[in-house]
Amino acid sequence: MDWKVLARTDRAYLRVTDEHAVLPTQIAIDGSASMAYPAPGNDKWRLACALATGLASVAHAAGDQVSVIASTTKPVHLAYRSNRTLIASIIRALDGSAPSGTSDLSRLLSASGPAGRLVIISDLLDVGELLRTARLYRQMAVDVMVAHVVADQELDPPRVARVVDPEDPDTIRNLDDTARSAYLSRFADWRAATMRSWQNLGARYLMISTGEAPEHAVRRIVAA
Amino acid sequence: MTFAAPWWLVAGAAAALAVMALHLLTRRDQGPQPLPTARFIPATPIRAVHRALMLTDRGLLSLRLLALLVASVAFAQPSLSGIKRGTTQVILVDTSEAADSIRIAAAVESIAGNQARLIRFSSLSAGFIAAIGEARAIREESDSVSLAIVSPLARESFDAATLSIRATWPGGIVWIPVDPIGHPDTAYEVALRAAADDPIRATLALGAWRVADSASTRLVRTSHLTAADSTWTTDPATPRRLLIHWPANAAGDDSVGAVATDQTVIATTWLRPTSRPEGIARAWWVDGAIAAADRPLGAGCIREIAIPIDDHSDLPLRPVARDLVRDLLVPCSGRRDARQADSATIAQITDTTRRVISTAALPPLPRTGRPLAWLLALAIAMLVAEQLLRRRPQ
Repeated sequence: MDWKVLARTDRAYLRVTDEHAVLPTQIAIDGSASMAYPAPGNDKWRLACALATGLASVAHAAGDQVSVIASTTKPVHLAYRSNRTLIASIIRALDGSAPSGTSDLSRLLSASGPAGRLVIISDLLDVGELLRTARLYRQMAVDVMVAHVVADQELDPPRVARVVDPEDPDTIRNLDDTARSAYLSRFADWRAATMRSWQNLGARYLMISTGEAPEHAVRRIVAA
Repeated sequence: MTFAAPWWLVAGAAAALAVMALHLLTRRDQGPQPLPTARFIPATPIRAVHRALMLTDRGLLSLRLLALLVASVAFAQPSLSGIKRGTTQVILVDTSEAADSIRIAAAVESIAGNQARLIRFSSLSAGFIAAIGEARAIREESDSVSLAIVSPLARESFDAATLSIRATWPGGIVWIPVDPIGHPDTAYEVALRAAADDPIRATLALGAWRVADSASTRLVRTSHLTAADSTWTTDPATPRRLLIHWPANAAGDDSVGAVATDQTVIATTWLRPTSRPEGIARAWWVDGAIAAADRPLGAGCIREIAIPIDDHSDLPLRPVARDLVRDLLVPCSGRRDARQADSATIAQITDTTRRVISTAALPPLPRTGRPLAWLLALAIAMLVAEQLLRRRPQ
């Protein structure tokens, strides 16, 4: 309703306009040791960085401010901005970082400012408090999107005798045929449960494997 | 196919066995591989480790074995030879000046078989070397070889290396003796044109030289040579004649203390003439000037001697004078001794106990050629490929 026109002319006019609301977008990348897989290229981490850069470009093109945080060894924290050097800054910051240690993403999220949109890029193996933090964001009406990064080698492990969890060196397992069958079943069940958990709190969930081209994955995320 | 050095094949086989053993025994224990989702694998107790004997990296193993095989075949020097014959006969044929070529040819014809290899020589040392080389070359064609020598075995055919070279032949040598050409004593004949009272006549008589007009050596004691002398020297019917021009009464006024040949030295006061012979020196004065020299003339040579013999001294009667004359009467081609070698020396040369020896007892000739080069190049290429294959990412 155009109230000014109504006051001047005593006639009601409805003005239809197209206004874009700025939606600060925060991109949170999991930089734990499990993202440094598989060697030597660390495909999961490279995919996560490519997704973050792609999504930041989409948001920046839409005029949104973008912030990027990553729980790497030296945490990355780029504050909200929308200037021309945003994408270059993101690339530079992510290039200079490396995944290791355990994830501290929820603490970084808690320490950062509120967002209009939150994109979490992680393998979700050590979510910790992340689910609770995401629930709080949802309660503040923040749009939460989860890109679950999975390596092809995790979906179909190589035929080796023994494996070890890089985040927990005490976790060593024999991978014979029987264990392999059990693993595939358990991992699939876990992925399904994880998807339900995130969907239940109102987040959008997409699983992206390292075998998928990053640009294709970005399009899927944006479309979702 | 035969191999010049077959033991290289044994060495190659041993190396291949060692490589196979390494591939069987080597276990690449890389430890547990990282997998972030390992937590989803059920924990099972670790069982006893069973070390299975299996060949690791079969492609690399095959390349290594092939490279070893090719290299060992290359070093073994293969030869695609046909079936070997039985015994090959090698005959040394004497063509020296002491050998009568007609008698030699008849003797060779009487003993030579169809496959005989003839090696002509004038020096025994050179003949033995050639015969041993020929026998080594026969190694690929014949199982065994025999060596015979048709020769008068004259003393002049021997040199300081002859017996040691003969010792390198592992078998016996059959000797077909042939009389030497002419009479050995012809070395001590000389035709002399000199005055009746020439002191050289006494020296020659005391040295058992026989003065004969038919000799191939002519000693002229006059002051000048004649055209007939030159004609005699260059007569093509009788080659290798020696014309010695040794003028009597050739004393000068240049005193010198000694004269020497290759074997004799006479130290006394000489009054040498002013003329100096030119050519191949046969005698020298103590100051290095040439006292006697040869010049080739047709098929023979002329020797100018400028050593004055005093008529009034007793030098011509002394043994040293006979030695000097002996050295100055040496033929143009050098000292000769056509007499047959003594029995002890002949016994060292000839030996009938092992007439035929196996060619395997002879060292092989070194193999060269393109097949060997190709085999080595192939082995090197395989080793380069092995390096690349070994460094490929796992």
